[in-house]
Amino acid sequence: MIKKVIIALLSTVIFSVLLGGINYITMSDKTIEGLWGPMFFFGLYSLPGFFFLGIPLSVLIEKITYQKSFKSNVSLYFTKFVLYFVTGAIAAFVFMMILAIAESEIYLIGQELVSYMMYGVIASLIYYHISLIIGGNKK
Amino acid sequence: MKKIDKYIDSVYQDFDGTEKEIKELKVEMRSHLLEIVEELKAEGKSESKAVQIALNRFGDEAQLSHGLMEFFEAQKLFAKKLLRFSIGVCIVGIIGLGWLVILNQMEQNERKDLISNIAAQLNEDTEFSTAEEDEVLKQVNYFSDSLKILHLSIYYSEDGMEEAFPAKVENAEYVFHNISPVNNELVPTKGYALNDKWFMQIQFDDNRNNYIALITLGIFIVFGVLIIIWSILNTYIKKYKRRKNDD
Repeated sequence: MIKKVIIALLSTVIFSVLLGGINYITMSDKTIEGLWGPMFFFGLYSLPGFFFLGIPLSVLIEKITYQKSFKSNVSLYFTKFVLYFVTGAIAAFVFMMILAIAESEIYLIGQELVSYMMYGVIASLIYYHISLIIGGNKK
Repeated sequence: MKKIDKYIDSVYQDFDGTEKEIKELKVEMRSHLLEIVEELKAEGKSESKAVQIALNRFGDEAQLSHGLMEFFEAQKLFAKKLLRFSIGVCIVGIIGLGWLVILNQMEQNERKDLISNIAAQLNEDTEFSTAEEDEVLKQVNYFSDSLKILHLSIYYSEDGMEEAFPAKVENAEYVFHNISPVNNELVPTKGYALNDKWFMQIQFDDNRNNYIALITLGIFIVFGVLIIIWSILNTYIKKYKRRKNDD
C-alpha cells in the first residue's frame, strides 16, 4: 500500500511538471502566472484523482490481469497498457463530471471533453510506467 | 479394516482428479480414520464398533465440509457471473462515452464552421451592410437547429473582445437569434472574436449532451458498485480457501 501511495505522489509530481511545463511553453503571455501557476493547478487537480481513482483502479487492473495467464511479458505489458489507457479516459470523465456537478455547471462537459480525457490517459499511463519502475505490480 | 477401505473407495469413486492425487488423498483419509479407530479402541471399544463409530463421525464431517464447499462454489460462480456482468456494464459505458465523444466532436466542428463562416462575412467597419447582415442571418438559420442555438448576438468594441466580454445583450449591435430563457441578463456560454473589432456571444443548448453524459456517468457508477461487491466477495472466498488449506 505504501508503494501505491509513493507511486501516486510521484505520478502527481511528474504529471504536474510535464503538463504545467507544456502549458507554460505554449502560453502566449508568460508573465501572468509564471511556470509555477500551471504546475500548481495541474497538481491540485491531479492529486485527488491519483489517490481516489488511480490507486483503486490500479488495484482492480492488477486483480483482473493476475487471474489471467499471459504468454509473454510483452503481451502482459500491452494488455495492461490498453487497460490503463481506457481506465484513464473513464476516470477523467468521471472526475470531470463530479467536479462539474459539484459546481452545478454540467454544460462544461460539452466543451473540452476530449482534451480532459486525454489528460486522464496521460496521467494513467504515467502511473502505470512508474508502477513498472518501482515494482508495485504483482506480476 | 476392509470396511474402511471399502468406505474410502466409495468416497473417491466419482472424485475429479489425477490418479496420484486420489491415491494421496486416500492414504491421508485412511490414516485419519485409523487414528480415530485406535483412539476408540484405547477407550475400550471393540474393533468393529470403533470402525463403525469412526465411519459415522467421518461421514458427518464430510457431509458438513461438502455442504460448505457447495456453498462456496455457488458463491464463486456468483462472483464470476458478477464480474462478467460488471465488465458488460463497463463496455456499455465505454460505448456511451465513445458516442458522447463523437457527438461532441461533430458539434465542435459544426460550431467552428458557424463561427468561421460568420467571421468570413465581416470586415472591421463599424456597421454591417445589408448584404452582410443577410449572410450572417442565413448562416444562423442554417445552423440553428442542428446546433440548438439559444442565443447569438454580435458586438462591436474598439478595444477588442477581451475588454468587452462578457457583454450584456442590451449592448449588442445585432441580435440574430434569441430564444434563451435568460434574456437580457444573459451571460452566454462562449464568446468568440470575429476580428479585431467585432465579437460574438453564443449560447447553445447542451442538454442532450448533458443527459448522455449523466447516463454514462450513472453506468460507470453502477460498474464501480458491482466491482466493489465482486472484490469483497472474492476476498471472502480467498480467505475461506486459505483457511481451508491451513486446516
